[in-house]
Amino acid sequence: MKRGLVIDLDTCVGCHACAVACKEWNGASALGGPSPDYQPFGAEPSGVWFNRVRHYEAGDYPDSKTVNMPMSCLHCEDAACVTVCPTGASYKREDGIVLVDPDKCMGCNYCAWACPYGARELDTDAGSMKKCTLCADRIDNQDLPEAERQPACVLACPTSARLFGDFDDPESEVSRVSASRGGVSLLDSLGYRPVNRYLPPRAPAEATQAVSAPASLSEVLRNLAARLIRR
Amino acid sequence: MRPALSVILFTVLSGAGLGLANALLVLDFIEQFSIFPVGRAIYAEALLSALVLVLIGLGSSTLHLASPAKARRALSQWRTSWLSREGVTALLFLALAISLLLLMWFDPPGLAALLQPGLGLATLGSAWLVLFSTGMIYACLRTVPFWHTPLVPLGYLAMGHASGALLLLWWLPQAPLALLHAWLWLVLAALLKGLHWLRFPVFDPAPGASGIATATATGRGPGIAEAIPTAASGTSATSATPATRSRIRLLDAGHTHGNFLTHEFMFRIGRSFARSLRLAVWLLAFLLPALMLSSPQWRWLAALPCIAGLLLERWLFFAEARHVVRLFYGEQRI
Repeated sequence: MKRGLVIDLDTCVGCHACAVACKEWNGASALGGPSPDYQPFGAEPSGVWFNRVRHYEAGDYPDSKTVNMPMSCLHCEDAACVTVCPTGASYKREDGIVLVDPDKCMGCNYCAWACPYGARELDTDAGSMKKCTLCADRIDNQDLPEAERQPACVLACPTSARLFGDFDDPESEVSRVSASRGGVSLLDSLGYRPVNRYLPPRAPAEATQAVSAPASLSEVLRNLAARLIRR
Repeated sequence: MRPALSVILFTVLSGAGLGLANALLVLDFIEQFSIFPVGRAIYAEALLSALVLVLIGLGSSTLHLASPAKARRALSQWRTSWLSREGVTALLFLALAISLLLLMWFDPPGLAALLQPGLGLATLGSAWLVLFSTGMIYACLRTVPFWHTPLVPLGYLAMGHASGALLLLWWLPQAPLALLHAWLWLVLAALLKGLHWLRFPVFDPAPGASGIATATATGRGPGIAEAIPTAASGTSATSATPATRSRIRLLDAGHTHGNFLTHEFMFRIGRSFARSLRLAVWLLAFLLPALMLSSPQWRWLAALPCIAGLLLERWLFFAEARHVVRLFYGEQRI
């Protein structure tokens, strides 16, 4: 198994619902321990987030586009954060999920240095490293209805820009969507083989084409008539 | 990378301690394989000083941990982690050096002559292993191109040996072999540091007239275009053109104050300041000690400017290192 996420940058509207849902579920996560806030209502609000959304502008005005990019752990196949960990607190499960055992972690920050994606953040309250668990405590939880055995971020996304599944199965939804939309992995040249895939934003022409349905002759005539009458 | 005082103190002090032990044992062996030929008092004092330096270093290194009480667990993953290997080899060095001291102290008849060469050689070897492991902690990280080079462990090894060899002159300012040994490492360390800086000139966010800002052109590491997918490959006209510095900008990081990532990885150092510091390191750590080595009445103190320079060098080693995460905060290249 190779569990991970597909994140569609074409449909993501950058609302931060995934990040907030993550914070809500993992605020009391039994798995990696809670994700704390520092001075949440103070002058310097900060805290640990397993999932962060950043916003970029690609291209130059007027041919520019806003790209909203949520980032959490990409659950690399060659996870350097696991191999560099001196205590054995970082580990990779059989299903590919990379986790931290807070009881073993001594908070040396070395795994955060080894991660190119900024997926690991130190919890200075607990003195241990925190990261995305892919909501392993949801997807494993037999008490939840089957439809809810998904990461909180995936369930929360209002535009369905996030999909969760098994990349080892070529027939799974994540595999098929990633293949058909040209899903990319970030910073491939570093060689960590991240599992999560990002679907790049489509070019405007391409997006418009995909939306407009093939028009029949009668439809064209009706549209023409409607326009003429309005005038 | 944010320079952490505890790690800077640790790397420089334990480096000097291990270098001192190495210099002492090398000298001891070259002199001949007899028992403590450099003189028992000097041998004991120097080895004890080396031990104390390594212990202070190790102690200070635990200060940067968020949970120092769990530090003992760091010895468990030596199969994959250089940080763990450093811990294991450092303990090995301490154990060997302490047994060497005990051997001297009790001096069991017949046994000392038998054990001392082997034990000395093992101590020397373990000192090299610790230094190499410490260097590899940084060099194995592909996320920090400034560190990801063989020049880092080699340079750290040479700097540790150089400062240690200079320290030994405190006790043996007249010994020609100790002097030669110090010269050798000092020159080697200066050369390796110079090579590292040649390979990585002070980072310039807007490199010269060529205007090429793609990652491959600079040879340092990935660029922002590799980090943030902005267009489907092959489908849009823009993706065919190489990414230039103006194509992707950070609009909003999603938070008003900093976080762990910006605190740890977004440390900034001005270009002219970095250049001045490089010069200062070279003068303080290498040139001034070389001048002092040349003068017989100052030789004994040559380690002092060298260690001060190396403290500065370690600070710069962190301050100048640029982590790949910076790309996600809108920096164009690493």
